[in-house]
Amino acid sequence: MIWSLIYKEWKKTNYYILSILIVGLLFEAYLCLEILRSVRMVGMPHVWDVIINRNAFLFDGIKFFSLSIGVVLGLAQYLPEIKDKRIKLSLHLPLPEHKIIFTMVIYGQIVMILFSFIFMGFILLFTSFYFPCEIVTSVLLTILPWFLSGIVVNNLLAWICIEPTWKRRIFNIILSFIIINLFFISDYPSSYVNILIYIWIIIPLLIPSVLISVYRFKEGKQD
Amino acid sequence: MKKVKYLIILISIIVLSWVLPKSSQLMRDNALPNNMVYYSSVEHSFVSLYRDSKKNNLVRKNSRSGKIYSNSEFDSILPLLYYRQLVVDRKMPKEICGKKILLGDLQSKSFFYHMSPTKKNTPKIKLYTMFESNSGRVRLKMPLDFFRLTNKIEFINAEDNSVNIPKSEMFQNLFDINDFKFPAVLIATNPNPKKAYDEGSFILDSENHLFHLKMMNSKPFLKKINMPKDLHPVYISILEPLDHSFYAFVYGKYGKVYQLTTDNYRFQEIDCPKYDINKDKLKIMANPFFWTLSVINKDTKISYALLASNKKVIDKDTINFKGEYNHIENYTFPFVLSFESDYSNFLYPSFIINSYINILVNLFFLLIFIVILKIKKREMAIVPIVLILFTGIYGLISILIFEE
Repeated sequence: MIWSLIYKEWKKTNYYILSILIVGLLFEAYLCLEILRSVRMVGMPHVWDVIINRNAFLFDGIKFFSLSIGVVLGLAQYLPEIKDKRIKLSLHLPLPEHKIIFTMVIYGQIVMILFSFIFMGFILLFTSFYFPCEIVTSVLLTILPWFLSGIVVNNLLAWICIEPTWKRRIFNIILSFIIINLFFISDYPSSYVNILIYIWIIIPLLIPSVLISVYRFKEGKQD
Repeated sequence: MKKVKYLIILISIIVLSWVLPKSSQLMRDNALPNNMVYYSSVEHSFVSLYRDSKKNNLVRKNSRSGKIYSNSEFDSILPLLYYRQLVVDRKMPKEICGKKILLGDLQSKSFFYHMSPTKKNTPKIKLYTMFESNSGRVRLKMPLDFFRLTNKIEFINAEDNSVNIPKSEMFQNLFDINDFKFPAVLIATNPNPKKAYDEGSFILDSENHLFHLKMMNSKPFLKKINMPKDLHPVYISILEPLDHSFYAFVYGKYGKVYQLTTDNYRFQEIDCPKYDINKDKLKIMANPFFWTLSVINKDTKISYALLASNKKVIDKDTINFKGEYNHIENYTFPFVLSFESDYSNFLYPSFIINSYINILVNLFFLLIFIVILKIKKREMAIVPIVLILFTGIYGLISILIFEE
């Protein structure tokens, strides 16, 4: 039954996943080409100098990328569920409701984690060809909070979309917006190095939040 | 389901304890007054330049006598600061403090230096620049490689991201001969290629020995420096002044500041007000006769006038800033969570519990909650009451939104 649920999620999101992969890799390739162009114009030593001594960050363009794909994937997963209240059908399956919902949420989380590995891996691979490990580490520490935000927003969208009333949904959106802002407090390269562990903890803590929305949906809460 | 509900309420409380105080600060924050304080070699006292917020004009005042100066009078009592204007006005005195002053000396022995906590507390990529210190050219040339100092020294070519093994081995031999104990604890460089000249880097090894490292005619130079025994450097700030009189400012563990001079690496202690490198700003405005050294924090600006020859204090001045303490905000928020700091470019979680008086304010919010419950004819539960009692406005907002 769980595999059927996973297959259902795959059917909803397969074209979106493929599109995100293609667009994402093309976008990252474009960013890398821009960097290589800068290198041809000013020379690699100058690029190293601005990174090391002037705290320039080469991949600013990637800042809201993971957040965007988290939103796209989340909407692809949960908008069909709330259209005509189709989630009722899933909740009538002979499985505990928390297993049904967690299967959907964890599917989204795993897809986002895989996206993060692929897209971060692409950037780090490119960086490791041209820059030493110290700069690669700095790039990783800078982009990691941004990619974690995509994983978190995908989770929060479940909580927001399944909520049956608009009044509570607005509060959910406001709280989610504030939580996501935690990942974008500072643009300074590697500034998150001391709080990354606390940010990791947010992800599992937020997973159960969707149960409240499902409970309220089943209770028939209305505006 | 109750556990999940209270988990969301707790997350909301934590998030509100970050965002509400931050939003409040955004609405009421003001810049600290920007008072310039300088020691006058003519009046032999501190003078200050600041903007009068009520009259919205610049005020030039003697801190001791209270005398107000006009713009041109102010130039005349600060000849070592406004010498360019005085030369143009043909009012530059020929002697100051009984000594003839040459413009060349004035320019080379004057400098402005600013140290802030964020310069020390900032994420840094551990790769460093080594200029050729003796190129014979006027302008410094940006090197094509950078070095790292882990358990050995390695130079990495920027062009192809490869280690320059011969150069690395050449420098490593010198480190071995000088008995440098890896790993390096502190590395100070000045990577600005627009500086007048280069004196390399200063490196502290793991046994608190300081070394001077530079490259001269493509050859390595490494010299061990004798430090005062009680000096444990926490930060070194390299400044290459035009007169070549010193290499750097060395900051010790207990608020001491030293000048590392070029006179056989002699350390000269600088008289300084109480200074915390992690919280206070330090400014030095130097001329050939006097240094005006100021330590600035959110409450005060304490300035010392030091003799340039021996860095001993001869006069002091204190400016107290009006407290930005907002009583209403401090009692509204029982605790504050923050990640950013004015003292660091790192993000750190910081949790500050405000006054015990907040418990009384929390009781007020609890009363509001009870009234709302009565109006809505809902039952009182113990958990929301305890939450609001301890978390005040954060708990009230979270429970009102998510309790149902």
